[in-house]
Amino acid sequence: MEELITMTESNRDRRTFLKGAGVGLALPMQESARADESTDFQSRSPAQRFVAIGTYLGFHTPSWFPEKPGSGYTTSRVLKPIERHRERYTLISGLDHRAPNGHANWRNFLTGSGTSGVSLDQVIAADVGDQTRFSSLQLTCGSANGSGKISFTREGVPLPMIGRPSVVFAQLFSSDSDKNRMRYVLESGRSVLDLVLEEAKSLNLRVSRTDQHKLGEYFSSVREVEKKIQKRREWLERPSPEVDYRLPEFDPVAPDLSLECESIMYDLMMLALETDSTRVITLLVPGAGQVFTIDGEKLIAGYHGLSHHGNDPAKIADFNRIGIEHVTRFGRFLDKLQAKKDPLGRALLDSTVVLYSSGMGDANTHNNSNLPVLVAGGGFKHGRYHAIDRKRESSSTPLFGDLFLTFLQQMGIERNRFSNASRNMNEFLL
Amino acid sequence: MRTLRLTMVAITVFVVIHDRKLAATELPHDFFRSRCLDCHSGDSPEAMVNLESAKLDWSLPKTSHFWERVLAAIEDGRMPPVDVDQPAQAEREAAARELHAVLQENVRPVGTQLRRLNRTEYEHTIRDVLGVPFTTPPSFPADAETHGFDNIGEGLLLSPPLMEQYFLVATDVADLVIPPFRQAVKVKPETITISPDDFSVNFEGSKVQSVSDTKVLRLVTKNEVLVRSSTWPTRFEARHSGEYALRITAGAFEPVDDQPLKLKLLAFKSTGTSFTSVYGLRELEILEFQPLEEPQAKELNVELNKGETVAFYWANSPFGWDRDGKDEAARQLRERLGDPAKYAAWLKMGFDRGRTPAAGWQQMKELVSGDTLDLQDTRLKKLPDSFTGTHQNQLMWLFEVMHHDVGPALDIHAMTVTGPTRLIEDKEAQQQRKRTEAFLGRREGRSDRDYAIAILTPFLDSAFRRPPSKGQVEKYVDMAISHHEDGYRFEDGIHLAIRAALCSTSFLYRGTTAGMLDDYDLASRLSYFLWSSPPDAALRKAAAAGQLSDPDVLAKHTQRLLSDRRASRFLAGFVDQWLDLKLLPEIMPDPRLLKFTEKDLKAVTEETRLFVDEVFNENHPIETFIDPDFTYLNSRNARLYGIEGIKGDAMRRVSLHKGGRYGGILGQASVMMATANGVDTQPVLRGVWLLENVFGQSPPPPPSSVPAIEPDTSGATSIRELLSRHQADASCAACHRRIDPLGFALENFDPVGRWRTHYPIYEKRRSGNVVTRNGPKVDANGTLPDGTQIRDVRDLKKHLVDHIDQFSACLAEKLLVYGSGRPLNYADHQVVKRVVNDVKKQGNGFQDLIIAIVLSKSFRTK
Repeated sequence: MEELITMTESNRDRRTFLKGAGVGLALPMQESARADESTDFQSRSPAQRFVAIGTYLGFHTPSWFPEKPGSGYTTSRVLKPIERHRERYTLISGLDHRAPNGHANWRNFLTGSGTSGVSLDQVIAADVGDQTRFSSLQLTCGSANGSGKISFTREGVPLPMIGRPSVVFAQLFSSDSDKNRMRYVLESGRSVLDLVLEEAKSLNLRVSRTDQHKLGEYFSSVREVEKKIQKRREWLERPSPEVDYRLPEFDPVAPDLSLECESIMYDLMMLALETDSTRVITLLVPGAGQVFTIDGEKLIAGYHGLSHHGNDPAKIADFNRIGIEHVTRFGRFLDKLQAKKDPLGRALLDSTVVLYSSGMGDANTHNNSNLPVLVAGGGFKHGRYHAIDRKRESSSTPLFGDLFLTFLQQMGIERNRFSNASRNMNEFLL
Repeated sequence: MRTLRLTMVAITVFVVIHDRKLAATELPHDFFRSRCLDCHSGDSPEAMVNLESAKLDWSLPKTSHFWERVLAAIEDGRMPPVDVDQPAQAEREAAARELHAVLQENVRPVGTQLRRLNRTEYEHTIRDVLGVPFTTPPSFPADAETHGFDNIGEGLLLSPPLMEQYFLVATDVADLVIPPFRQAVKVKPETITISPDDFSVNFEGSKVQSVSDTKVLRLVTKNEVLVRSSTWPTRFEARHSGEYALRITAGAFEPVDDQPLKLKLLAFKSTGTSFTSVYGLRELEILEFQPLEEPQAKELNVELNKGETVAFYWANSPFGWDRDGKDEAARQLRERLGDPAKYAAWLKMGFDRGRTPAAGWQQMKELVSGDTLDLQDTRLKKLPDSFTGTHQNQLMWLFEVMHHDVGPALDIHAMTVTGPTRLIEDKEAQQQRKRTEAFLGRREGRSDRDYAIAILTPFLDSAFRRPPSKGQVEKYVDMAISHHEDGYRFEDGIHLAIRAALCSTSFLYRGTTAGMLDDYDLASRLSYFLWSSPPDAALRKAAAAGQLSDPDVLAKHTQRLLSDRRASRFLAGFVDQWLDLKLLPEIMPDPRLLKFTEKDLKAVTEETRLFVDEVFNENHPIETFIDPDFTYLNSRNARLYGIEGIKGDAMRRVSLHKGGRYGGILGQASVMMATANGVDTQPVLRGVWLLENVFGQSPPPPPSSVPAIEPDTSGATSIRELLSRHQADASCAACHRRIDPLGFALENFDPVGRWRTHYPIYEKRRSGNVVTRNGPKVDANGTLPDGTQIRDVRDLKKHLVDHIDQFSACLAEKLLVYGSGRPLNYADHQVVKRVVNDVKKQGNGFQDLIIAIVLSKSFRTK
């Protein structure tokens, strides 16, 4: 067949540059910080990276949590695929934000109780984000229709997630043509700023004292942008990390293929962490009506239908099969985090706080309490299952937000309040 | 006569205060010396008000504000405080008169600082100026709110992160007008074979079935929701916009009649929402398959845009209902349950939320073929006329599975796609090309420079909302030309000039002329006030002709803007901030009060929006805000008000009796929620809110040394007992005698706006359940500072309607603050008084008030 001529994609160029499409752009790392990475790492807090993974429909918690608390517990069915890592994670039951129930309130997962505030990952990104090429990365698997949002700005605006593996890859490891375009935009941007400064100066002569004061904001902001352009150019001249990874030919974006997409997303997350392209990642594992095929067998109902299992053992079994698929993929991610070393020679996992959970505690009843919480890595003390007694609830009963405060502390971020929480869960993890 | 006396007084004071620029200590007026300076002087003056050190530089807005506060304190008797010697009324009045005169003499409507475009304005401006689709990205920092609104010059800071966003977004936006150069690449058509396993299967609509040795993809329903009925290839999407050759093999399974089966092919963006109506998707073709089991192959060519795939929808399936509604659903279900065995089985199975459709059909099948059913059951003779929603859905899904099992169904056997066989310009590319063409126009043999001038002059004119100076045009043109001379395309030079313009002060700020606004600034002020967008062509034309400052022309344009659809942006921007509707999503009512959902939230918000819309659209009198004879309800907010007979989620207009509890801004749940915290009510907070937003007075902030009075949740001490301390202490009473009675008047409204007669007390039973019982009685009594007795909100409404000028002035002030982008000063308050008087004579319509505000000197001054 004949060849047809078309134009190259321009979207990608633009997307690499536009903030807010699943990645936050950041300043390049300080040269000095790069020069001696090992001392740099030593002087820092126990954890430098944060990864939060939330499954939209949660898990069947009775099949997720072990029967007995403590360290000698028997691993549950659903967590079997990661049993090999059990000394590297902690399970906690009884945690939630005391937030309202229902799918719509899944959004509280990382933001806290009933608020439309900032999500934990963005709090962290605000602090550590300027040390990497991307301040944070928000991902999902495929089209993820109707599966909520996971990351929110300080103003409570949901951040878009990238669901296409090829787009994530292009963001992380931009091609030469993308880079040329960005170089052009930054370079020509200087003359843009020169012109607007000149214009502002002539305006400054014509306005009142108060307005001159107002224009002062403009002048200093433009100067800041000039500095940022310089820093971004430094990033640009640094070669993109070279990775030996082949994306599949086709983006599995259809809902039925979301498990396939999930595997690739974990690969890309690993690449992003390993190349230190970002230190903050969220992944929303979607769930709607798709009917999965597992081991060549179609499940008896769609994912959402199975989540409303009505305690029917057959449905729970199939719901758990999906849960096991998720956990298996998560396990492979843990394998790699454990295998890769940071500049100090420690496993990457040891300095990466990993939260694996859901905004939904029991999808069957649309209940957002008692979330399935798993914390891995991050230099914490692991190997136990903590069952928080909610029957004897008091003001000292830990909240999910208290766990967030421990995470923040572990990353060296000073904050003594997160949403409705104001304590921490250090005694569980340190 | 009155004027004369004022002038004389003014002269006396003027000589002493203004001419010699003396501080307040040197006021000859005995009043300040004998009544005020004891406390209000020295290093730590009372309430940080130092009358001694107050400099009288009237060019500073704060001077006017300071003396206005002093004047208000003297006028309403707050100062001197009640625990010291009180001046005689005549003495007080004389002092106030003199201050009035000083302010009158010295204060002019002035004080709007340069206004940066806020988020909404920026979005509309980009769209209007460049004609591109644009939404402000979430990475933009939020705008601060000052003086109650997010469009006030003073509060609209330009921070470095925001400037960075402007810089980045300018490129993205310029790309939409002039796309970057793209290199041509070669595309080779591919052929993909798609087997039944490679289709998206969701819910019960489609399913892969084994038929003898092969698999088929089976469709059974024409449900309107794509994901519930249709299917699409999971591993094929068009990589390029172009023509694709399809070959589809399909056949019938147990067809009902000899009619051909219609398979509708729809273009579906593979990352788009699958919970969409099939009627909203582009139809590619309808294929007809004969009602025969053997597979029939059809070949066709379709045009797909990049990222689209082909969805299959069985358009004439005998099962499924969409637009036919409830009756058709009942008919089809009755038809299937008309088989007595099936209905008997259904009666036996009953509704079970947890049962999968597949298990349901299995169970029904077993029951039908077994011998346990009582086919003589008399209930079998009478099929229900309709089914409840949940039963209807369960039966629908069960029968979908049945049709997969026994037919009728449409079977897809195979599909191949080859393409693209030809490339096409998709809609997006076409729009893009048209945008570029429209922006650049034709060169018509002009030199680069002349061509650039022709392109950039009208662009700068609309971007800057006034004609650019010759020098300005030159700078942008020079920039474009020199970029071109550096070896870039001519278009790249224009692209660069667009970027610069979008980062310039002329674009980002408005209102630079001092004193009375010139016609262009006036056009912008009016247009951003009512549309949150730059002036349209008609306004700009009037401004260019120098006609806009003519009051008749200005009034005509104001009317035109008000009657335009875009005025809804004013309603949203102004009302949401004035009545704090934007707070509602953050308030989560205590579940012990009631179960509150997103739908309830929507209902209470919509009520207020629709209510204000009507007052606005119908130009109802301002009194309507306080005591209307209508409101908007659906089942959800009607439940809050205990109004019966309102069903469903659709909001509708409902008549009310005037003078009642509900309706208006003093009776709507939205306001009651916004002024509470979702858990309990605090009369002080509601009182302050009313004072500021209805009575137009701003009480000073609470003293920092005094802790807030917390409600006693045990119910042992009533809130009134707690707040009685405010009355006992003179320094508290000065403000609280104005605040507390207003707050108490609303105490009958609980935190979600329901009427209550008692405060609730929650008790936790041993079972863990929480029960509510009546606690202390609500006491809404109070006395306003003017002596008016208030029993509950109804008296407060009456008082406000009787003194409507007070509320009109408050509303007018809010409008003026929102419109002019500055806090008001003494002169503005005088302007408002005149506006309120004038409008009252014309019938007090809300729109009339807006027009009068626009025509006022205050609105037209920077």
